[in-house]
Amino acid sequence: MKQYPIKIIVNGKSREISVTADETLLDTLRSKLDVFEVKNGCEQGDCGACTVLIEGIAVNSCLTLAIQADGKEVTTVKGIGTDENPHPLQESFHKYGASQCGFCTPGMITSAKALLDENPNPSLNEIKNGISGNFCRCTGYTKIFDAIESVTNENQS
Amino acid sequence: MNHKEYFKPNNTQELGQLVKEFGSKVTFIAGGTDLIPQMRDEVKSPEVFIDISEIDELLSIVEEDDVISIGAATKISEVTSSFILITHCPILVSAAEQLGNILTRNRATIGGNIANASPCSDTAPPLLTLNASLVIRDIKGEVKTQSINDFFLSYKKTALQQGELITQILIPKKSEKQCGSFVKIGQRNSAAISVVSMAMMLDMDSGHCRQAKIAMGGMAPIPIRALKTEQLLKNNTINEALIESSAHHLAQEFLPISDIRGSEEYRRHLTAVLFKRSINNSLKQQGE
Amino acid sequence: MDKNNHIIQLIVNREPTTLLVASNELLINVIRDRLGLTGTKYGCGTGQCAACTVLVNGQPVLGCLTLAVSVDGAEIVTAEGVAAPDGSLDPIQDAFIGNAAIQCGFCTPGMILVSKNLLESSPTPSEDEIREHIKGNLCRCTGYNGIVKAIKSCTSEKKRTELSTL
Repeated sequence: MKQYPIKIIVNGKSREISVTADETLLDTLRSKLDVFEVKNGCEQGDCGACTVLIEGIAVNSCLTLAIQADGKEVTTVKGIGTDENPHPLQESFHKYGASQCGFCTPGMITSAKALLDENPNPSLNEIKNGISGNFCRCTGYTKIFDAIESVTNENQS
Repeated sequence: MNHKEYFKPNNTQELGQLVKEFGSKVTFIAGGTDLIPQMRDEVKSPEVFIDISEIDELLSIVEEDDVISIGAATKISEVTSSFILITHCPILVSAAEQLGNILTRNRATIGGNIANASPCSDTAPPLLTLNASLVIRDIKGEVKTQSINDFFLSYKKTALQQGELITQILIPKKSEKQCGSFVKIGQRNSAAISVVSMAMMLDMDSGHCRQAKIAMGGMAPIPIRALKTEQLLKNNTINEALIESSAHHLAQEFLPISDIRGSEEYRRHLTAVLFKRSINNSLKQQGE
Repeated sequence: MDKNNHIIQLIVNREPTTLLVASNELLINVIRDRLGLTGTKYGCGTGQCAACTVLVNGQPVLGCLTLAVSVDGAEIVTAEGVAAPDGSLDPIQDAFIGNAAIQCGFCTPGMILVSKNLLESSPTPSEDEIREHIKGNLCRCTGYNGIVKAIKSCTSEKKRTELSTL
C-alpha cells in the first residue's frame, strides 16, 4: 500500500506518521499513535465516541481521512484538561455523575468544549444541539446537560 | 488496486491536471461523511482520492444581482450560518440545520449531499423547489450548467459522468411574493434519515397561487417534484377545500416503499399531514 | 374454615381492606392483581432486585418473598401511598425528580420507599449509610449517584445548612 508521511499536532505535540490514502484519523490515532481516549464506537459517524477537535471544530474522526488532518491541530479530551489541570467540564462531569460507563465521555466532553468555545452561554436547546452527535446509553443525558449548564458563563459568575 | 492514492489540489487548475491524468479512477472527497461509510461497507473502493475541500473557488457563498452562488465544497455548517442564505434561501437553511448531527454538519458539504443523491437527501427537496442549477466541471475541464430538476435520474444515479464535479450551486433570488417551508420527519431529533421530507415554494398574490413548487424526500427512488399536485394549486385561490383535496392527491402521487423507517401507508399519511402543515406555514409568512 | 384460604385485614395506604387470600398467595400479587396497585413492580421474583419493596408496619419488606397471610393486620404503604392524600409530592419524590434519580423508573417505587424509611429512622445519614441502606435495591440505569444525591438533599443536615444560610 502506498504510504504518505504526514504530521498531525495532537494535543499540542507534533506526531509524524505514515498513513495510507484511505486510512481514517480514528484508526491512525488509536492503532498508530496510542491515542486511546478517542473511542471506536460505530465507525460510521452515528455515535460520536470518536469525536475530536480539528482546528477547534468538533468532527467524527471515523469519517475523516488521516491524511486530511495533515498539518492540522487535533485536540482530544486529554488536550482539554489533565489530572493536574482539569477543565471545568471534566470537573463538572464528575460532580454531576455525567459519566457512568465512561465510553461516551471523551467524545461528549470534546463536543461540549467546542460548544462552549463558540457559545459560552448556551440555552438547554443549544446544549442539546451541541451534543447531538454524541450518544450516551447510560445516563439518560440529564446529568450531562446539568454538568454542561453548570460550566456556562452565567453559572460560573 | 492496492496503491490507493491521495491528492489535494490547491486550485481548479491543479484539479484539472489530476482529473486529466487519472480520469475514470478519480473519486472526489470533501467531508467524506457519506463516502467513508460506503468504503467501510465496501460499496465504494476509491483508487484515487482527490480532496476538493480546500479549493477556494468551491468555497464561497456569493450574492449577485439575480442569483446566489454556493461553492459545492461549502460545509453544511457554513450553509446554516450564512447570512446570505438565511436571508435569501431560508428553506435551504432549514433543511441544512436538520441534516445529520452537529459533527456531520461540520464536515459534510452541500455538493456532496447532492452528488450522493440519496432519495432522502436533505438539501435536494429545497433546491428542487428553488429552481437551482448545478455548475458541473467535466473531465476535460469544460463547464456546463444543468437544472437540478434534470439531475437525479434513478436510485442514487445522477447525471454526473465519471470524473465530473459539481463546482457551484446557483439559486435564483426569490421575489417578495414567494414564501415557502421545509419540514422533515425522522425517527429522532438528530442524525435522522428522513422518513418523509417536504419542501414547498409558493408564488402568491393575495390568496391566489400563481405557482407552486413541491418537492419530497423519502417518497420515491429520487428526491422528486410533485408535478401533478403543483398543477392543482397553480392559478387557484388557496382555500380549505383546495388544501384538503391537494393533500389527498399528493398522498397518492408517488409510490413510496415500506422499509424499516416507515410503511407505505405511513408515508402517505405523513405526506398529507405535512402538506397541510407546510402550506399553512408558508401562507402565514405572507400574512395570508 | 378452609385451611387453604384465609380472611385477612390490611390497611393499605391508609385504607382498611379485607381480603380472602390463598395460603400461598404472595403479598406482591395481592397488591398488584387484587388491589390494582401496580406501582409496586415484579422484577425478579426471587428477592434479589427489591423492585417489589413495600413498607409493612413501617419496615421495608420484599413483596415477592412475603405470604399475604403472614401480614394480616398490618399497615402497608406502597409507592402510591407516599404522596399526601391531596396529591402533593413527598420531598423525597421531588428530590428524585430534581436529581436525575429516575431513568426508566422501574426501580423507583421500591427505591423511594426504602429512602423514606431511611430518612424516618435516621434523618442525617452519611453517604456510606445511604448507600448501605439502599444496597438491596438494584438500579440498572442511573449508576446510583443521582439516587444518593436525591436522598442527601432530603437529610436534616442539608435542611439545617439551608436554614442557617437564610
